[in-house]
Amino acid sequence: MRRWTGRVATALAASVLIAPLVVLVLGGASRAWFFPDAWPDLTLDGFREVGGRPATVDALITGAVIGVAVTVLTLVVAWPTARVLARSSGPVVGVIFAVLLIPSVVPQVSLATGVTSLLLRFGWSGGQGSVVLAHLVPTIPYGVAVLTAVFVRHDDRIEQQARVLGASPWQVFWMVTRPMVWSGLAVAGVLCFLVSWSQYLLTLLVGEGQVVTITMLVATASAGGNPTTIGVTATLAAIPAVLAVVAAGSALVERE
Amino acid sequence: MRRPGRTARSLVALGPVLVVCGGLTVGALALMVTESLGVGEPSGLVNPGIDAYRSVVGADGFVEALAFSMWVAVAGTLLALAGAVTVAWLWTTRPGRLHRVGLGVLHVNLSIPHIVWAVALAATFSQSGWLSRLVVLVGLTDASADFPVVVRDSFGIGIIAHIVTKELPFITIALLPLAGRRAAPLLRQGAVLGASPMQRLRTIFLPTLAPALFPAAMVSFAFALGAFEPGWVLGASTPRTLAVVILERFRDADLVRRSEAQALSVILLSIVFFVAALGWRRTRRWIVSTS
Amino acid sequence: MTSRSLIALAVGVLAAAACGSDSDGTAGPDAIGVEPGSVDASDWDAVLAEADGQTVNWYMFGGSDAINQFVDTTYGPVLADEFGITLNRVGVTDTVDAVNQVLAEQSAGETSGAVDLIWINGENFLSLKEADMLFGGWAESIPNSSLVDWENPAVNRDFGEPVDEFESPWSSAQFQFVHDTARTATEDLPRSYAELATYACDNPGRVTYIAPGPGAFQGTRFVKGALFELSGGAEQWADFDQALFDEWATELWEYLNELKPCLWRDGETYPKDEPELHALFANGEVDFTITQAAVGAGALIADGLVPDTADAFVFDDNMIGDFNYVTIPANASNKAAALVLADLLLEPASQAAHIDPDGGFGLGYGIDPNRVEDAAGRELLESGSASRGDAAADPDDLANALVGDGAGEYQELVENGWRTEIVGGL
Repeated sequence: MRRWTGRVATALAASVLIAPLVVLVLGGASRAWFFPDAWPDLTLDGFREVGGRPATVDALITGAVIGVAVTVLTLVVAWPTARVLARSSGPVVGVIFAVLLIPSVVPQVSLATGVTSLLLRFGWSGGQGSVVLAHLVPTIPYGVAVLTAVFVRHDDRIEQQARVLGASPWQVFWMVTRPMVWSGLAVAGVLCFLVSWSQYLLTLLVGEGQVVTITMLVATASAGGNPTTIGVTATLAAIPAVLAVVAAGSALVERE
Repeated sequence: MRRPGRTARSLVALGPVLVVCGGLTVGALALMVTESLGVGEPSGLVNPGIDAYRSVVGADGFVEALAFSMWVAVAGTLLALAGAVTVAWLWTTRPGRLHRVGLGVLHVNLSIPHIVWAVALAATFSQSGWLSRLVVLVGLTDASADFPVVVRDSFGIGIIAHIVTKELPFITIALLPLAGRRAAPLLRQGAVLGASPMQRLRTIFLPTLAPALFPAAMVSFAFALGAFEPGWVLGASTPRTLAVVILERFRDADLVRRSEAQALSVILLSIVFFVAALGWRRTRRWIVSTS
Repeated sequence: MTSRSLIALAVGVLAAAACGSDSDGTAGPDAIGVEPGSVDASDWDAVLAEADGQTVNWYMFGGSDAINQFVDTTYGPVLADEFGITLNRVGVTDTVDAVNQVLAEQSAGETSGAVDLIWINGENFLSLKEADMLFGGWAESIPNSSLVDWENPAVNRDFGEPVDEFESPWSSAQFQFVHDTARTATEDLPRSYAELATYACDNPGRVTYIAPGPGAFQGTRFVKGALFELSGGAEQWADFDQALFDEWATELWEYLNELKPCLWRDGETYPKDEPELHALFANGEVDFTITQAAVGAGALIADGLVPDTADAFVFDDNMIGDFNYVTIPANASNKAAALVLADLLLEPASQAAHIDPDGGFGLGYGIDPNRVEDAAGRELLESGSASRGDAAADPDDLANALVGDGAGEYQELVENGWRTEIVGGL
């Protein structure tokens, strides 16, 4: 009996998570799909038209390039920060943690206009590089948070042993540390990529209209409310993001 | 103290980037605060002082809006936490291929931007949404008006559903590294020593996950309070979440309204900091007790 | 130790930023340099010469695929081939994003901005005008401005605010309703707000309207129409008079509150924007939606947003009409190219193209066809106007019901009053 309630609960939960995705894709693969039609007349016209535009393809590539750059930079910066935070205690940790929380709670509008205004003052705006820099603001908190959690539990005596035995710092990192924190690193990487991937306002303002990512196309489509355009752009935007999650999945499901 | 010099040195080397991002974050915060105080407005000094705060806090309906925002944020975050811990528990204690597939499904919607997910939820669960159409197909109802109202309702069900469905995968994904590496062997030990599943959950699993649980919960709560998308798409005309009110004030031609928007943002931020400070003390004890 | 120095650095940046914002705040528009890249619109040859080789960054609402494609395929090639200008259309989810870009640049003292041209009207125009961030003195100097009826108060006032040569028209719009001919017969349609109340209460739950508010001017427009009808006419509202509003406000709220229980969802909640109302209508939850297009429901049908049996109709009176515009920020980097584009939008051929429900986006003319001297141009405009499609409201009905918008100050009074009196809450 308990087994069944568990299964039913899981099925319900899964359908709440999956159903909207199905509706989204079906919307993109149809036109004028209204109540009470439970199943639409499927057509790939929308996908062909929007997906075939060079602008769409460019937007996908731009988003991916920026996403990867942001992820790499974030991890490189977050790694030593997390190691220090994990071992520290006291008010400094609290302050840093508070600063990390700010981008998550500050409404997008306030954060984006504030960051843009600052970057404009320094003259760092208007290209993909500035967008990458701006994206670091919301992604670094995620990177640091996840990696700190990993390093809190991390026992680095094994690393000490390896150094004592003559391994170089790089060898220690690659052969000792990395396997132990790999899943944490993968999670941090995926989260950072997704956060960067899903930015709209920050990219628009800092990129000064010159940098167009697929998420910006999705955002404008959502404002327009056309289920076909929304479905198509959202599906296209989801594909690389899903690939990122799947790629990291192998690290995620690793267990002892 | 083990080799603090090396890590500290790399930290200094990367300092510029950290400072820039920390500086950008804190700077953006500073601009937010100064605008809320009526200083440095786009068109010059408008109304230096705390007028913005007075007018929003004193406004009719502020308390209700604040209470409603807290309700959806707390309920959504707690449900997401409970769900995520459940998923992490099942995944840790009961391995299987189905769980891997389930995990993959769980995480697809992580890649969907909030606005799109909100629109998708509305399209699925509204009175003329997909679920309603399936119910009509099966013959249980005739018209859209017969379907229960679960989105754009005055209890915030739709908003809470958005928060839960978005945050549960995020928290789960944050818990898994610790669950797999740290908790699994400890749980096995606990089982060997004869502890019941409930005991194992409370005394081993949760404390082990605490270092990831706390930041994930805080980020979720922060998002739940600050994001406008759930309330904007899935909320009713009243009560509205503060995040939606902030968005509206930002759109107003009247620049004084922008001050009010920033003031509300500062208030939300303060609430999150307060809750974080409270939770941090509790969590520290947990972490220390199991190190 | 290292953490502390990091904190110190961060605080330093914070202080610098805060100080920076203060000093910009106290300075007026001169510090921003309102006219550094100024261009004289009356010297058109110089404008054309300067524009050659420039890129114009046109920020506009990007939610309509039809408009996006039209802009890219109609204006883009002409700009490139005839004027040597590259068009960069920047889609935004709401015009306020473009406004925020300009305001962020203003607070940073940025003199060569990212935004060259904005598709704008109403509150957003007012925002930028009040912030002194608009390039001025050009709208009545560009060549095709002679085709614009600048005497018309609907043109020279934007949501009641004087245009003052800060913006140039693109297209025109008029508030209309849309019904589904398969569901409601033309004879049964309400033709006034009074009849609408009767219809709503005879068909409970089948009528609703967009919640008035910033960014949801269609809702405000609906409520204003009711105000005009209750008070006996729209002309008295053209200038601002607080006493007039106080006199009629009570009746307005009474009307809406009596209407409330008969509405969709018992009037407890209202759709927040047009797409939401269109979806309710298309899915059969309500009987009416609204549009502002000259082609009525034509563009919506072409986009697949409503059933193809949809048709537009108007009340007998009080259907507010207005214009939408393009404006150039004070710190635009490519003002010459922006001027050329603004002028191109007014070309008779361009105007005739955009009214087409299939190829264009179906909004009305921004110019006055009677002012066009060129015979070919006139013909294009007339045939365009005549072929609005079957889903358009009758042009005579539209003209008879046309009224101008009220003074700008009423906008906020109506929006705030609605929130307080009808739904309550913050």
